[in-house]
Amino acid sequence: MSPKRKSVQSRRTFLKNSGCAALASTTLFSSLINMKALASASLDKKDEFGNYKALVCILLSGGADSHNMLIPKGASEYNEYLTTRSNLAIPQSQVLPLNHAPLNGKQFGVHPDMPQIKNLFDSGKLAWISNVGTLIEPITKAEYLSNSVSTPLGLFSHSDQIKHWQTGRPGERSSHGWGGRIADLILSQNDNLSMNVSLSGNNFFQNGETSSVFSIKPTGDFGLNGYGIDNNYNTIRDEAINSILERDYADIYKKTYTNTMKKSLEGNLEMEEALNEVAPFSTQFSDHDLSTQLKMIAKVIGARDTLGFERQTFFVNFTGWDHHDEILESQQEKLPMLDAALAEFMSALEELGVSDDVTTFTISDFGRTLTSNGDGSDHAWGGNAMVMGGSVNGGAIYGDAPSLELDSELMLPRGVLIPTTSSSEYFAELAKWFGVSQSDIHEIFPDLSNFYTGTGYPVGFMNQNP
Amino acid sequence: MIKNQLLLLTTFVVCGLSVHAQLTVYDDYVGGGHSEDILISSSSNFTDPDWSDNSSPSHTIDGEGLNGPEAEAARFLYQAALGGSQKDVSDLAKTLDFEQWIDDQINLPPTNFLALTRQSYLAAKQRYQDLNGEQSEYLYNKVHFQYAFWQATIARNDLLRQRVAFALSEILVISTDSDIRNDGDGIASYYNVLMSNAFGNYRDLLEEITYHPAMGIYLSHFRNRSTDLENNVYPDENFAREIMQLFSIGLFELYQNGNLKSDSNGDPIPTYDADDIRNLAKVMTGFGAGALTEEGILEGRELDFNAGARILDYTVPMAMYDEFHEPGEKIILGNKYIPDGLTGEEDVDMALDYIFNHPNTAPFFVRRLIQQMVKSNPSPSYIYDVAQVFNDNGEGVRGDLESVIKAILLHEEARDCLWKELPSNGKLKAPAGRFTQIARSLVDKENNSKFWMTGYAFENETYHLPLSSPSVFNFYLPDYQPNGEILNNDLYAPEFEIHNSVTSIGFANQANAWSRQDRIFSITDLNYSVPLQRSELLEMAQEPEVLVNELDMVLCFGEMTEETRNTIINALQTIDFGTSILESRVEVALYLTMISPDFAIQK
Repeated sequence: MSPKRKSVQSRRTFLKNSGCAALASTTLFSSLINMKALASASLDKKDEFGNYKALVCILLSGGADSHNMLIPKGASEYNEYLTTRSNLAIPQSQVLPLNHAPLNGKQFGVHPDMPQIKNLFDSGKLAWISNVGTLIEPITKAEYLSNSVSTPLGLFSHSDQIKHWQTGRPGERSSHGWGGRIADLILSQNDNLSMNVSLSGNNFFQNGETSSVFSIKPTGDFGLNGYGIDNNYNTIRDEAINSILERDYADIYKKTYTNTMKKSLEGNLEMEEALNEVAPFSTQFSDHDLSTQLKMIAKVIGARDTLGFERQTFFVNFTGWDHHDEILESQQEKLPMLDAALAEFMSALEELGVSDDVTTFTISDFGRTLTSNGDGSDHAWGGNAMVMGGSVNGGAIYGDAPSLELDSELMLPRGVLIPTTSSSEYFAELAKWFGVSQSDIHEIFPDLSNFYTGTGYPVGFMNQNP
Repeated sequence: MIKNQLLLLTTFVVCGLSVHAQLTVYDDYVGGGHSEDILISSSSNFTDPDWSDNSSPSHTIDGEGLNGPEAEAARFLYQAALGGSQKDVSDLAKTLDFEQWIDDQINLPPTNFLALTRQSYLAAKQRYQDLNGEQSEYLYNKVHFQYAFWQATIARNDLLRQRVAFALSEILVISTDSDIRNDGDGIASYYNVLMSNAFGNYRDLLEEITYHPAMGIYLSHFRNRSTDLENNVYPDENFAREIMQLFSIGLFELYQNGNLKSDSNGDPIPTYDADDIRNLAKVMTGFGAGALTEEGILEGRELDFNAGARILDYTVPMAMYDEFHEPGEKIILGNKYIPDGLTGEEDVDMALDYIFNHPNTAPFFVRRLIQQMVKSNPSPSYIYDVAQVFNDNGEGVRGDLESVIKAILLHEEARDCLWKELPSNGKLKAPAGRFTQIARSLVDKENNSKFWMTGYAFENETYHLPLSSPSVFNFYLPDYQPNGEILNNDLYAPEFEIHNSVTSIGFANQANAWSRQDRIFSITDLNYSVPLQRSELLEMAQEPEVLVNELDMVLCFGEMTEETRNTIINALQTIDFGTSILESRVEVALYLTMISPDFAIQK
């Protein structure tokens, strides 16, 4: 009895699960169809707000030197600025004047590379918030120097401050942003997509406890290549993909990996379809990243009804503002991009007829030292922020404009300004406009009551009577 | 084991059976180890009406365990090197002597990335000009470092050193996304520092990166001046802050096992404050050019403190110009005293000693290295054990990286296979790691000598690319916690920070290109592409299970789950129509494996 020899190949046909075992998954696209059915069912629950609003958060990461963006123009305030900023000061004649009621008796302008921002300001569509920064509670110079009042954790550190500006909680090391917390409250029911859309990947601002972030690329190509295309063996491959993605994994890394991929696949398909229905803009967008990203945001806003959202948040990270070096040259490069992108975005929103419903605001790790370190500035605290939109009470500068003299009341060593408006107040106003209730506001911004205990808008830059 | 029972299995002799073998009858089972040089494979439950013999499933060798050594070798090689070629795996599988492998690796001559980057530029330029004419302009820039990086990944064999350097590049971060001059020299020269110190001492590493021009530009201590009160100019604090926060001590005091210490209120204890940073910033003043570029020399420029970034030679360490160094005493880290009257170099030396010797440095650094190489959530005892080795390598030396790396890779928590079974053990392979493993095991090395990639598409699709981090905080933070079970279980998973609705799909699309377009490296401008090595896979594709087994071993360390195997096998079996059945099967099998969680997650 000699064993029969068989070739390697045919041996392999003797499988444990021999024969064409039934595919584990259901028919092609069935899961996708089920998800879509769920999504359209949820659209019926539309009557939550009865109107549409969007918040667009532009993070200027690195700590933008906003004291060279909003610049004193009037004689005596400019002289303070010039003395303190020394070789970083923009020449007075180059500062583009803003048309505004005086703030603390002072007149301001903007950096020469921000002409369109000036126009937006003068036409009432944009406002500045002066000397805003993270604060847990109000603090004086003496209190700071004697360490007798609590200050934001990790003051002057990028990683901490960039978080605080996104979480609105400078007394904690939280990872959940106020945009995410708002989304948690709204509980938007589109299963595939989040009301939080990011053009810059995961971020703290939109990171909620239950809500998620949907990241998209600005270039407009979506989804798995080849998926859903009916040719050759694509359908076979797609079924296998579905099977792998729909499985329940005990391993928590595998589960997290697959869940993200699955939701992304379905979300991408839905997003792509919806965006295809949005008419192209006649506004011309510049060719650089921020403009491309804001253009995509405008498109997604254009698709809001198809997607079924009444509330949306958007996030984009415009990087590279940590100008310890060569600040004048660097800002000359970046400010025109910011300037163009904001104007183009506003224009597209006007085309869509939603300019009153979308509020864009800037955040940054911190303002920078008024003093120079040679050719740049270092990490500081209070800085200036912009808010743009049809519902903004534009053409005005809000908050306070303290003296920029080195020994002045709010100036710490090294040219660090103690903020006069807290980030809590800044964000609370945006959140209120967005529709968050009074009690929820205090939940989300636990430090707010140290600055503002009223029921209205803390700062006044948003129009309360739309 | 059932003895005295004659089991007749359908046996297939695969490897040579020597003719003169003695015909001894054993009464345990085939494969019981009595014969050498015979590879036995079998199936279970086979009945053939023409045969008088039948088989039963007892002792059926079903494929599991036969490849145990290979799987173990592959797993180790991923931790130690982001994967080896199939030959690397099978060689190591023979001995499984991991310590020897490490020692051998340490003795290999290191790849010189500066030389390789410049060579890559010249070779690419030649190619470009062959295509576009002798006079066409082709400039040296950062992509040539990327070409060198992948060239070394595939064609050079100092795998462990490269792996460590890459891990270090995600801790002691610099990036092409910066003001570092856009030619390959700066990044390549810096990477050489990481390479040469990979098995050296951490104190030397800290010093060399402090003096490296690329770091001087990246964290702006190049031409950092002493205080000038008259002009309101103060020393730049950037490097001072980050060398403490990110490269050595971190923000909070740690126990040697990596756990946070807390004060009486239960709050973490900061390791330094704003004053410490200001003082350390004063120490980090006076750095200027150590040499000028050729251009600078031709222009007749002086080599002095005023020589700026444009003419800075990135390949020569910065020099200390005492006239621009801040004089006077400095106190850093609360009470560490640097006296008045020292030179700049002496000041820096003392400061680096204080930082290096801070008790935090060991747990802070080793945790990050473990997260890079082995798992996202090392246990406190794993961190403690390795930190002890950092503190003292057994011969009284602190900061000995060679010993630290051995401690990490040979530790029971990295090696013992029982850890694989824990759902919370392991990590998500970073995109560049997944790509490295795929490229190393599947690229056609026989017919190609260059392995280049610009990385633009890869970076856009995966948010990851060597030496291209968006900031000094790297692509992902050590403490990142994605929402869901990982967060709910108080676990960390850094790589998930760049796993989102763009990149989870993006990596799959890259896998699609590699599997369908039959190219793993390609550069359009140079009319250049390198395919996968497919001939063996095509042959195996005749039997789907064989093909899947192969990809399982090569990409998943034999860990592919039963369900995934079945899904892929079934899909392949359904591909039995059309004119290119085998090619299609190989494409689909590759793609599905590359996107599966069994590949993406490193256990």
